Amino acid sequence: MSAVTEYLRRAVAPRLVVGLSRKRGLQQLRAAFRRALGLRTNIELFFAFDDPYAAIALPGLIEIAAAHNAKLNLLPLIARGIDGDPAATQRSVHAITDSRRLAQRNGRTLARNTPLAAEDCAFLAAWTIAAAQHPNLNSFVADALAQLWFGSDALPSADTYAAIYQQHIGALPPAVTAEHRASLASNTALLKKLGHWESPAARVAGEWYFAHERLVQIDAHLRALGA
Amino acid sequence: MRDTLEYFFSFRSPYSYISGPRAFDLAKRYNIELVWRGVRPMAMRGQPLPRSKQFYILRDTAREADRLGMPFGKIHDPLGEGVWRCLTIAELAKAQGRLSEFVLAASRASWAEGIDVNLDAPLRAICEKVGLNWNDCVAAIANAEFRQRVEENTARLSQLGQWGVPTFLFRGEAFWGQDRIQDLEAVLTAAGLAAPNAGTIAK
Repeated sequence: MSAVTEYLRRAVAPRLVVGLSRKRGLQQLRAAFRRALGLRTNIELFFAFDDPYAAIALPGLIEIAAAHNAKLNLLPLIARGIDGDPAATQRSVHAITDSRRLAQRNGRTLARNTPLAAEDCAFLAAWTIAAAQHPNLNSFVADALAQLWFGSDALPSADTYAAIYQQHIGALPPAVTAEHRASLASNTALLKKLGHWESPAARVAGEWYFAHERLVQIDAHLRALGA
Repeated sequence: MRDTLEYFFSFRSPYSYISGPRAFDLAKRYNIELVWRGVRPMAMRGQPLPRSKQFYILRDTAREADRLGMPFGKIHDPLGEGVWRCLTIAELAKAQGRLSEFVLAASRASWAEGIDVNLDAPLRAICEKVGLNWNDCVAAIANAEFRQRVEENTARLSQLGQWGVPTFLFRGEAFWGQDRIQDLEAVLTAAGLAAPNAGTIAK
């Protein structure tokens, strides 16, 4: 590799990434333009039910969205993470320990000691897709995540969560279909296309945050945008 | 006997860089022995690091550095031999009681001052500024025992079931992330170890 290429890779490219990330002018202009049109700021949360960090993130994110009159769009995932990551298992085990500590910061106690498999919660992700347009979707997901991670360490049963679904959505949950599965796969593809790979990834006016550990920063970002 | 707090650190990790001042400060505020363990970067131990993750880490570190009031952004990625040079000199600095000074200066050089630590002249300036003799540093870079120590630290991190840095280990409990120091401090305080000027940094 030539010295010029090395310098571009080691110095110019990373400095450019950092430098551009600090330029907020365009974001603020876009936010002001949207406000003038009466449009709300969008927050997209890509999350997985089998991720305890999602249960940590969502209540705070709902509060922040409400405080800034932002629209919180929930996009459930089944597949997530980095392809071929040799530390994937360690990450899921550590996420339990770490989530327990993060929950304790808010006086909450995680009910689970071992990771859940994505397939164990796949029906919840499908139901979230099915109720995507319902105004109570976010409260259903928040309650389901709370039950899943703070309510019990039992394997999730469709019966338990059907009652929560009915309470918020006002109907029995649908059977999981191939269309639901396809939508979930599309969410994973969209996450990667937009430049992230994991749950719970919040995209706030175009900027990415790991929502479980950056709620204060998300709040500050929205405030800076005047949202 | 004093409790030990192990601190796994990579010179290629911007999160390690911004953890440095707070991590070394723990030894000034708690009755612990801080054991610094330099490890090979993820990219030099087979961990995939897609571009999206690299970009996220840089942007997030910029936000966090701004929040902490630390300089960040004038980068010269030390990946490769630059990392090895810093890791081996850090072992020398440890033995000479100059560890925190060297680690903080060398990581700041890579992540905030745009200094290429793979070049002799700027690395020499860093070493001499923190009180290290350059000839000793040159010998340290070639010291096989120092390189072996780094390999042992890297293996230990893996044996603990951990992969990322900075990671702290206290009484068998791992804390991964510069933003988990507050949780670690809660545990240290609960263990009754808060004590000004009682801790040490292991040589």
